[in-house]
Amino acid sequence: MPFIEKKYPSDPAAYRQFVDAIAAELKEKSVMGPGPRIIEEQQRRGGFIHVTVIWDEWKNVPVEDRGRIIMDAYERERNDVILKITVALGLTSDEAHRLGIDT
Amino acid sequence: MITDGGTMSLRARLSTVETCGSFRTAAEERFWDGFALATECGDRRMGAIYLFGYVAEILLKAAFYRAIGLADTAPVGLGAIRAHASWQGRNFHDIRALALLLVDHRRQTGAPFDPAFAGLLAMHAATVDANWNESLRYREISASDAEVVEVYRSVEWIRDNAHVL
Repeated sequence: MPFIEKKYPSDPAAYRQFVDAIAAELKEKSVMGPGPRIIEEQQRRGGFIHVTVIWDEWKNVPVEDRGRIIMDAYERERNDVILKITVALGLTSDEAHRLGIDT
Repeated sequence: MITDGGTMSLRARLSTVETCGSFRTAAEERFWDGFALATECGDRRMGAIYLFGYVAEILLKAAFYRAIGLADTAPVGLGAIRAHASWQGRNFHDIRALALLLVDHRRQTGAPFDPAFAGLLAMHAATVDANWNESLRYREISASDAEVVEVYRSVEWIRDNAHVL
């Protein structure tokens, strides 16, 4: 019988570092710099928000993990809006440019 | 004259009623049609992308109709999309807008997606949209292997998750 071992792909320490970095950006709200670019797009109805974080550090992070990292960072720094967020998406700048959502 | 379909022509055999169930069946058929083109020798990649785009469109529409409470056998129509207050599409083939309509509708009816899941849905819809629109049929253009793989992966994600959309 074959033996198949499936390890959890994410490194918990790296995960925390990503959450820390985005939470720091949410706190500082810097205008310039190499950190994550956070776009909060207010929706027309209901005060809901789509959050896109454009950051080249995402390159080695599975796309499935990025939204959860963003939500964890918001939970820490912007808990007031957490229930308003309906979309959380992390993209590298190349990915964002290719999808036409880098503005 | 070819009469494999019996005495009626193909168009005559088409049901005049579209339903969520028929949408999902059609999406599955178009998915495998696209897959056959994508894996065929010769440059049939554009045809594959053309069909894959419709698979995404049909599955998102079926998900929306189900989200507004229509049964599998109930007739569906574009009026429900057009009339929805959250609809912002440029036309009814707008894949991004269909995905965001679904996200918005689910949120407003108290059954929201997890935002991280909604992010994946938005990303895969945007990926299809970046490579496809319905007017491709009029265009003379070739698609690369990378493009067909990119569209295939996103449509496959939508298809794999169609039961929870």
